[in-house]
Amino acid sequence: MLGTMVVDGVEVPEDGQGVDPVDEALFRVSRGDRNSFAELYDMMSPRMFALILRVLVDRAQSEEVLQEVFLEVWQNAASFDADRGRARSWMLTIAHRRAVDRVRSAEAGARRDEGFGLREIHTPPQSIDEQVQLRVDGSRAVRALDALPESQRQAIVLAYFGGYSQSEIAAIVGVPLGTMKSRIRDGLSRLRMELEVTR
Amino acid sequence: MNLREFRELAAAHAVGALPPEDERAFTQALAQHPEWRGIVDADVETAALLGESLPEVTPPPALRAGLLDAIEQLPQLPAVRIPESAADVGEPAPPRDIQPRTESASSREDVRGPDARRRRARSIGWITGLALAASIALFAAVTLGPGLVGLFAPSDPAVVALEQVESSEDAAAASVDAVGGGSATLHWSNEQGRAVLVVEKLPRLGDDQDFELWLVRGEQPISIGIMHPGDDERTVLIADSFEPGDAIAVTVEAAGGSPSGAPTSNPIFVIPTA
Repeated sequence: MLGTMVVDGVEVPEDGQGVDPVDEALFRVSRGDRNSFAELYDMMSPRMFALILRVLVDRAQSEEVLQEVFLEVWQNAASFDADRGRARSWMLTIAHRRAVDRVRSAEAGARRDEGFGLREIHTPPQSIDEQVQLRVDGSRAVRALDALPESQRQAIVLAYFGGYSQSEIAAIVGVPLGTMKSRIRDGLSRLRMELEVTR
Repeated sequence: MNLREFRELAAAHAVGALPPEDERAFTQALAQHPEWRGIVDADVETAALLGESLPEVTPPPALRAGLLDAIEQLPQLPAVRIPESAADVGEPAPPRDIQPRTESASSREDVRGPDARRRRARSIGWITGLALAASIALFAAVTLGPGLVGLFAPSDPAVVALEQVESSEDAAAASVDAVGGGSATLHWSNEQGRAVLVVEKLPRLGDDQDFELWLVRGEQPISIGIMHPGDDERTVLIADSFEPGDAIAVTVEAAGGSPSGAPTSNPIFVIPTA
């Protein structure tokens, strides 16, 4: 008998061969199915909200962005291309991009900085540790992240979770931009490799 | 741009670390090298796994209710997909009304062999360029029925963009009639680096054809996607990758867009902004 596990409240076959319910729901949403949109929201919104909140910090703005992102998902569901990745990745990518867009807008940046002070590029690295510290559940991705050399891990985390641009990170860490570009590239390649190993 | 430089751009793009000008360089590089698409997809997928790793945070219930209400009246958009590479979309459509003009394309580096080179040479001096970007940021579209503009003004990215462009100090607009019927109006702001195209009543196409939009930069057409406008509707499209001097053109292509990544027919309209 095939084992099952629960992913986002929905049972999927443990061998990973089953269809991800998120893929299925997004497909039905692309056909205008509003019930499936509610289902998709229930499955994905806690993960997307967590990501947006992580990048944006401000809760009210994060709620706004989450709303915008789901409207975008509704409107553009037909543009999702299953050949290029998973539905959940597509949705998280939109959420991430919108959160980063928002954090780069002046107002949000200022508000967030009250909490972190990281845009002050001469801030001593102690506040970075706080930012780089991930309080997470020991998931596969985090174990993979932990396997990275510290400099790469820091670059990836500051970019992806911190919403900083590569030149900002270079300034924060105090390395030339070219070095930072290589770190991000090497870090992401290494991360992918680690994820493949632990799959 | 070499592959090493592109890998840096793709990785930084995936983790959201590129400033806008580098995003544009990334998009252009990908347009010239559709065979690098896989690198981008893999990086984006890896980054998304990071995003998935955070402990869940449940948003407030009111947000869910608001969204379900909002979509009751919010129209969905047609698919905007851009072919990954010429190889992915089967045989190229036979070129129509295109005469060779230049053989100089062979001086360019070409990783896709002589066939691609030949097609490019044939395409009225436009070099092969497949669209791309992680198509979301590059391109957004909405189809509006009559009277819907006001209703969706607060949340609709296309409508918001249109308002923003129109309210800029250097706002400009130009209208043209399309070959075969219908019309198009381009609103743009060089300052904002943004253009919004509104098309109305374009001719109906068969199932085997699509309208494909192009930003023409210098002599290079960059595909920004395909569109399926409705008969009586206005379709509003945002080109975020617009740069001052770009022209916007629309051609009729095989369904899914031009297989070669270059226009295969004469545009039904071109709107220059220079």
